Amino acid sequence: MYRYMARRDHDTRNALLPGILDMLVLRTLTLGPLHGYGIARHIEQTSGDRLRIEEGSLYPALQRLQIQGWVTSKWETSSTSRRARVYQLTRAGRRQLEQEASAYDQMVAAVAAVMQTG
Amino acid sequence: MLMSLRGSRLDRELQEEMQQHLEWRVRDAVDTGLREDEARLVAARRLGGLLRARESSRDVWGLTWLVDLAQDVRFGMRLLGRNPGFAGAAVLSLALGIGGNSAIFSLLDALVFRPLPVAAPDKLVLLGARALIGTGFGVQGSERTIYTHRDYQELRARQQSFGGVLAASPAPGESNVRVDAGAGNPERATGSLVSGNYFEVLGVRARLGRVLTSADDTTAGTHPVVVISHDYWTRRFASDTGVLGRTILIGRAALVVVGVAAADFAGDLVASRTDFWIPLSMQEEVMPNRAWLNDPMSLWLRLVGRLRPGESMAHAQAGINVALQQILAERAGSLPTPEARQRLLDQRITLTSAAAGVSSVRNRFASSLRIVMGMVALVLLLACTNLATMMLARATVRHKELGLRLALGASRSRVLRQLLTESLLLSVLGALAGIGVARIGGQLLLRMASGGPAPIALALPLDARVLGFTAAVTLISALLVGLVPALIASRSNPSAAIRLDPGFGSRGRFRVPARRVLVSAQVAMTLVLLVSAGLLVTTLRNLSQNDLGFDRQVLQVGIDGVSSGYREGRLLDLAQRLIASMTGIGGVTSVALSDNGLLLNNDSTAPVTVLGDKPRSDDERFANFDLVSDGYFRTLGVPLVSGREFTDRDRQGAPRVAIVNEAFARYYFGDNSALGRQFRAARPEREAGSEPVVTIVGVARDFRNQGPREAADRRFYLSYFQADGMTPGLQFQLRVSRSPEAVGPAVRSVVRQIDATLDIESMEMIDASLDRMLVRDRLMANLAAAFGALAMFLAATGLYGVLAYTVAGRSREMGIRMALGARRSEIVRLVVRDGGAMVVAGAAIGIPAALLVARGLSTQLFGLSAFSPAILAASVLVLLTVAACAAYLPARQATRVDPLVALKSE
Repeated sequence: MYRYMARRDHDTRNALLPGILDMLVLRTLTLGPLHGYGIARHIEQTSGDRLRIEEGSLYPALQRLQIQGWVTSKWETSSTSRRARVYQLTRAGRRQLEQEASAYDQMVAAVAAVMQTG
Repeated sequence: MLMSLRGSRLDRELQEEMQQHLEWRVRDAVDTGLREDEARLVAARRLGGLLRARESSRDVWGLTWLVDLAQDVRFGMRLLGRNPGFAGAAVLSLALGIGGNSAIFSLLDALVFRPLPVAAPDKLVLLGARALIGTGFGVQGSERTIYTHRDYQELRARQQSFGGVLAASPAPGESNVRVDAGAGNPERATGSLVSGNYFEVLGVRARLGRVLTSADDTTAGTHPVVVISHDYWTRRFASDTGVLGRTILIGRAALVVVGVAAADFAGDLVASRTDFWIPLSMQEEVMPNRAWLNDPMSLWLRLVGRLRPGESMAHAQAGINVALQQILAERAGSLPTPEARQRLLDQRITLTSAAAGVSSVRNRFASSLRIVMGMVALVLLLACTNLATMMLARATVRHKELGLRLALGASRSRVLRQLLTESLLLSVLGALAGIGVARIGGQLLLRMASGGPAPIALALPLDARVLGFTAAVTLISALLVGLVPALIASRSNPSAAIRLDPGFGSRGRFRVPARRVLVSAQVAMTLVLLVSAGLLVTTLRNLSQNDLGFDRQVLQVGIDGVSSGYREGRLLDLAQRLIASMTGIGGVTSVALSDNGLLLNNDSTAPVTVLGDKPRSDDERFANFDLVSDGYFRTLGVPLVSGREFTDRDRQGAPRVAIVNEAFARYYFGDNSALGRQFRAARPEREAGSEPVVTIVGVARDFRNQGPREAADRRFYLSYFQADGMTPGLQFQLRVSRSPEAVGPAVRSVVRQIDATLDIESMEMIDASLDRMLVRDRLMANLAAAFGALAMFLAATGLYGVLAYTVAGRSREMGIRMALGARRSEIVRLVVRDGGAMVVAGAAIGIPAALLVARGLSTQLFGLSAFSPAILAASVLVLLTVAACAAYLPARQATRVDPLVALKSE
């Protein structure tokens, strides 16, 4: 029986734009190769649970990043002898991350400037 | 398929990956204290988008572009729906532009390019440089284009290069036909006399019954059969399968219908209607009293051959000329003089391709159509440019939205694709509407062009070629409209998205200059179209007002005496009686008669030897002539410079006389009087040296009986009633003081009273004949004027758009200036200078371009030079006026800016 409260609760959390999501995923992977669930958990935990990653947006994001050549993936057998797909950052991905991060910083600064006037 | 195989594998992997993800979620949820089943529920809810996720992931792999395209189209439709005004205007202008181009192309294709619907049309060759559709007598020039029946038979027997050679001729004009020998009024139908192997050489089958065979064309008069065209069958016989065996009465022959030709075949004569085909052997029955079949002097056939497989046209041309020389050598022996023999042997045949059939209409219209095609292309370019400026304006407004898109991860190519899809959507919608425009436009043009000498029968199907052309034009339009704005718009960078609007002093960098360039281009194109329109409209005026040298209040009546059995002496008697009766009709001031008539494209030529003249070369000796009755020149209103007209004393047995025109007199006699001088005019059927000598008794002012475009050449006139041994035509010129409607019925009844079997072939005022001659020029002038007006409208809206935008963008600046004391006139001057710069830039390119185009038009022009400064000046003036009107509103808007409001708007 699900609780309506929880659902509404979930909706008020901040929605993440796909461009930002890509950037966060790339950032996460700078810490080392990780599987999809691990990436989601890392972002959620590091943001203090303020950011919530929907699988519906995570996996397409990962596909996108792979197509662009910023991320590679392969299947690995984990210690629990379970198969998992692990993602890894490429050099191009690292460069892309730098670009996106800088663009994001500029935008944040501009928004902040506006918000502080008047 | 490979993609889908790979797809299913990826799908399975993704499924596995997500399943794993789910398991981990559950495990974590259990760790936080939930029960297993609860945990599963929570996790499942979180992963509720599993399916969606898989789908969106799947999308990322392969058919992204298709999904994106669908998305873009939907978005584009929504966008258009929100701006119905813009969408409507855009689709309309594109429909007109694309549709117009398709219409002209389909006409050009049908008339000039489309191959005949026969087997291997590229193997068909015309024996002649261009087809002369008509009849002739005696020897034409050295380039053979029409042939006698004997020529045909001998060439066919001796040639080696062709698998088959057919001969064909239009049956004279429209024939009176009676179906089933019924009583009542005859119908009119147009047919063709063809050799028995016509259908075989072309490779056309019968839809019903059979086609003609060589057996039908053996002995004269023995095979009264006819094959009708599919169109005639549906039109006249309502596709009745019982049509076989019915008879069609033409002339003296009752022809039995033995077949209906294949559905898409309309004859090898393009754009002229052919309702039926009759074997050559029936010629004399179908055209009574005209024995062309066995007459060695009657030229009436065009010949078309089918090359043997592997044979080249050059080789065939050499071969056919060898055969021709053999034939001519045999005939040359009977000619009296060595010059005549040489003239005969100088003849040659040039082969031209007949893959697209043979056509007199084509000769008349092909170059004009090409020019119209150029004009329509310019109009489309103008419409696209207009739309491009509008798209640029919208892109400027949307640059915030686009910038945000880019910031949120869309690639630049993706945005580019989306913008291009929008313009492609517009173009496709325009093209769909344009197809309707094309069909209507094509039919309309055909109808306008058909007012000419003969009705034009052309089918304009919407076939693969036309559709392919339309698609290509649509694509090009989409690119023209969308590419530049898309490239510029997609360059928006994310930080610019959140930047404020260009404010004081800023002109938006690269956006506005692009629009200005486009407007200048529009101005240039409009100038080209205006100048072309001016030239063509003036040409039409010059042509229709041109003084031909004779009075236009003349009703010309053409009568066919030969079919009713009149020849030579009896015909001359008949002519006398007709003149006498017609003179008595009320409203008729005077009556004259001539062999060739006026504006009928008939002419006679003969080599002239003036007694006492220096010897001249063969080319210089030929002069045109006509046989005319007494008082001819007075009836036509042509003054006599000296001497007298023909009178009733100039008859058979009396001394032979002639009247010459000024050009003739000047050529042979300079300033001396021509009266009393004598010359011989050779006639083809007489032996050289035996022609009688004629004495010049009068000199008439030059006049042009072939129309405005003909040069006034040397001419002489012989007395009609001194023409012994000849059967001239009966073309009456009636000087009328009343309208043709009042006089016409009286003329008919007079003719009927004299002989009820006489056929009045034509009855038309000279003015009307001239109008018909000018159909092509009128068409060109009308179209050019319409396109010019359209171009002005498009350019004006483009200019207005840019100026309005600029004024709006500079409203702060205007406000400040006015607050600082600037007068209204100065503000207006600012705007005008802005617009003027664009117009001047456009004119700088437009004037040389217009002159270049004018030079290309020079073959169509009449009475004025292609570089007419008056037209150029007038066009520029019109353009400036229109530009001034377009600038007026924005200028007024600029002066209305309230300085306070403007200053506050930041």
